[in-house]
Amino acid sequence: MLTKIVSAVRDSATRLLRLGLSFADGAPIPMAMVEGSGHIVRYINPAFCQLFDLPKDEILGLRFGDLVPKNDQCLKLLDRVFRTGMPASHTEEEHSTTHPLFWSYTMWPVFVDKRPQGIMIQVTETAELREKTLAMNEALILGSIRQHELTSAADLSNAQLLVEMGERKLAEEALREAQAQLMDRAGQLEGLVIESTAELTATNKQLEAFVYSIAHDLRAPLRSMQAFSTLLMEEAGPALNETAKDYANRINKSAQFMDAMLKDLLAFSCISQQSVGLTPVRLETIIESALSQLEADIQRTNAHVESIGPWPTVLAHEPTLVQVVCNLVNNALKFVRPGVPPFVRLWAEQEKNLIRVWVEDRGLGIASDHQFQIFRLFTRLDGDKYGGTGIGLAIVQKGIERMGGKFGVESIAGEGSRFWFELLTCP
Amino acid sequence: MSQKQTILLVDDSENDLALMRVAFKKAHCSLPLQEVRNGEEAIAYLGGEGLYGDREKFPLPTLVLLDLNMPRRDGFDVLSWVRAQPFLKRLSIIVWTASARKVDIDRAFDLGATSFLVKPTNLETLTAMVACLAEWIKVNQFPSINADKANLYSRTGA
Repeated sequence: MLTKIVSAVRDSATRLLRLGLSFADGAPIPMAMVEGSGHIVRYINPAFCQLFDLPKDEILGLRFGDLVPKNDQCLKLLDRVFRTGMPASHTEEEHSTTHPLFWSYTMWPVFVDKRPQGIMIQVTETAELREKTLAMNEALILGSIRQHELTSAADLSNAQLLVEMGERKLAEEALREAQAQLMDRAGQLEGLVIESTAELTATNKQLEAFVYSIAHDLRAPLRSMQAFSTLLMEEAGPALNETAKDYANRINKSAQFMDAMLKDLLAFSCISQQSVGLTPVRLETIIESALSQLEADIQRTNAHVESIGPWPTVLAHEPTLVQVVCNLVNNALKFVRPGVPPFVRLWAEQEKNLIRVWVEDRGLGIASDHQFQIFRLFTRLDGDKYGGTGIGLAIVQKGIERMGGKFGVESIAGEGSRFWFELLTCP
Repeated sequence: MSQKQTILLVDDSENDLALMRVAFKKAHCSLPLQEVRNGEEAIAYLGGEGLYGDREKFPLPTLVLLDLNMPRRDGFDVLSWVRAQPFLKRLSIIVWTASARKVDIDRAFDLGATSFLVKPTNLETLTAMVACLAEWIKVNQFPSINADKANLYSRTGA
């Protein structure tokens, strides 16, 4: 930023200088401008070129000392002007030619905006001294007026630059301030995120404990209800008429049902809450576990269960996946057409890096309008008729989702259903 | 009359205690049952404090069936306390609770539980379990526990 400003100032100074020097171009008196302690010629007017009878290019860049080698006096003057910043002049005689020649040098420092740019040197021969002096005076006067104007212009330009600089500085400061605020804010937000994560983890733990204790505490009175209604029927047995027995039975069944719901809810909550770490899992093992859990039901319902390999390995959470398969097969065992023993077939298909597991049955089937309903919590399409808590498929949904997979069902009412879920394969 | 082995039931649920009584009856187990309603009382009983000092009336049990979730000092507290008593630490204590959380199971065994059983939800299973316990009591070799001079137990085995 600063360098830009400096070069801008320098550019404007040069511009002004060139403006000022244009008056010297037209002057009849030889004039040159030198720069630095070495007095290097930076500018010469045509008159100067004529005097030394040399082309411009050959003079520019030379040290003035080289141009007038025998002239110590001139150089001493230049040094003095350079040092003091005060104009000076000098006349001397040269007797080298036929008629006497007087050389006159006048030098003055050139400032643009109080900055020294160099030294102006005016050279004249005495032969035409007087006329040239007059002309020179005029030029000088013009020059000083010009210079004054230029200085004012420079001052103005400078003032503008300063304002700009000031504004730019303010802008920079504002930017820095904004950046600092942003950093602060970012830090704050990070802190908040960490806090929130900690809170969330704590909340999750609390939720887990809460759900668990609710389920646990609710199951206690249910135990009593179940047991005592049974005992009631035993104790009062003969004294109870059919209606009374029926009532006692309903109490018993309700308690059993509520207990089953709580168990399933606990499982559902478990799947929802706990962190589900995915590892390579052999589907064969999963299927075996699930089927062995349902062994008793399979026997009781006289079901035909087929598990068709090969069974690849998938990326999953083992206990959750066992639960999912168990629930699907269990449903296949439950929702059967009257008089038709359950028929269940399981197999897997691979498509690129996805494994789709199918659980097919020849049971009741599900009408297409209901196919999305069944995955909802507590939804049992036929209510009490086929038992169950209405949580099984919700667990399937939650479980597969948490493992990052997809699931679905294809079914025709009255013919059977094919439930499927997809998981990533594991090489 | 030889002293039969007493079983101490520690449970805050009146219903569960009642059910246990029924189950024991159904399992044809006639061992005397003592009941206390929370951990504080259990410690008082086992330590022979106050009323419980009367070992005729409140004999030291051969087996304790200990619930975990109780007010005023829970099952874990009782376990810790018992295992810290030089004269009681051999006592057989079976955790008998509705909770089956892994952390609870592990903790119970860390604190020296003899076994961990989950209260079944239906009466039939409860009865079967109690019958099993009764059989176990018959065959298990119990250690000697000298609470005080008036030692009222000894019998191990049938």
